[in-house]
Amino acid sequence: MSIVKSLRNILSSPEEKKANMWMEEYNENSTALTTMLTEEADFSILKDYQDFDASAAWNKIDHLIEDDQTKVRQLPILMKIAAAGVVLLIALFAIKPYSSGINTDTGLMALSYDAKNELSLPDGSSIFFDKGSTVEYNQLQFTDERQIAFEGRAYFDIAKSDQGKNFIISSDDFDVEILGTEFEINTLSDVPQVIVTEGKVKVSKGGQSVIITANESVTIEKGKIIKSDVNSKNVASWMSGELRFDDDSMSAVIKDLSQHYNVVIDVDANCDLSCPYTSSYKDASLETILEEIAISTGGSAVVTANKVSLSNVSCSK
Amino acid sequence: MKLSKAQFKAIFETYYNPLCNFCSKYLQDRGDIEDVVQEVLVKLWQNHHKIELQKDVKYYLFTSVKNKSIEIIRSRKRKQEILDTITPEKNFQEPVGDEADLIILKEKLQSSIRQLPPKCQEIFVMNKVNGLTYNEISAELKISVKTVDNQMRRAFKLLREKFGITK
Repeated sequence: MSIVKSLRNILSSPEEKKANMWMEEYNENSTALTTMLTEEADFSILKDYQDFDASAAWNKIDHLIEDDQTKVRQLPILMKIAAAGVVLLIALFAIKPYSSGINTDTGLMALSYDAKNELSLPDGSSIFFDKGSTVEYNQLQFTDERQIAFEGRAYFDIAKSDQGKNFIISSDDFDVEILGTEFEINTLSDVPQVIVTEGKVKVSKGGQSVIITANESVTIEKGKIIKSDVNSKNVASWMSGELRFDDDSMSAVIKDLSQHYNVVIDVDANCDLSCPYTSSYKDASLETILEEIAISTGGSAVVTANKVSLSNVSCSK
Repeated sequence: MKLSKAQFKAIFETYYNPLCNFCSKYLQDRGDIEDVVQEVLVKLWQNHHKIELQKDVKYYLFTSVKNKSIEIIRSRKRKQEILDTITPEKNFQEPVGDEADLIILKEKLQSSIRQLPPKCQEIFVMNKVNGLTYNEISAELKISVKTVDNQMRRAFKLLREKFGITK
């Protein structure tokens, strides 16, 4: 075995030469160890081998280990098969938008992203997806329909249509009709949201609909469409990984953080949310940021797999 | 790499002790050692979908433990301004693969010894690991040499059974 040869090179002490004898008999794929289990066997290589309590250690970290299938909605089987060819499909797409080699029967395209990714559509629109997003559209009819089904978080830059055809995005939470624009949709968070950075968008849910323009957002709360102004500079911060706060109130900071990381941050009654906060981050973890906030405000932060909270934040340093 | 929690737990249980023993080459304090190993294992969980390893997970784990240990030694060195540590820096450059295999072999032996009945185990370790003679063990434990001999036979019988061989 090659292991034995190379072991000889690095093991030179008499103690470790004994290890060689063991290794020579040792083969992971068989029970060859048994041949060493004779009365003459030398177990002195175990002299310094210690026992650590693995089950106590497991109990310590158990709460950090969670099956992470909660947020991402599962695609039906058929879509999964299509999604397996993401890279190839996109590559072909860019060169020959109407290549007949893909999904010949229906023209249905279904992509799911497990990392941030950008997609260019044949009409000149582009979509920047966050991980965990899925998109479906009919490739053959796209130019006529300009329709996609979408779940997840993405930044859409939708091109104006030559024929005046509006772009339509449908999701479980709402439908969005675009009248030529740049905006962000987030259906991953507890509060589905559309934010518009440029242009005009119509959001519909059930019978209700509302039109929003630049620096406005719509959220769906308890089935209702709620329109509000956006004045954060951290819109779409998840794309760049950059967060910036200049004398922003703690309540605005917390709102930006929960949007950026898609989490609910619990704030206790002892927090003064009017405190100003200034700092900037690039690709920082939520834990790092909350710790910094806690240190600079005399409060404390807790980040675990199922709970994120801030307490005792005050303005005095 | 996709892992379920159950699969991860199996990895954790398989490698925890070997990794701690490996780490003890670099760090002395048992608390430090366990912290490093737990951190590395939790990181594996957190990043498992980004990592492509499959069967080589052990090399990933051993290498990570080594790197983390070195990081700790370096940061302490800087703090304490100690120029020479017991282990010369160059040893850290050696590849980790063979050592990993050796430690996993040790774990296999150790874990089978661990399953022996307490008295049998004690005598086996005194004789085979610590090198005491039957006479010395007999004096130490105040039992007859014959009993020591019987327990040793029993130990080997049980170990062989564990590895599925009858002799």
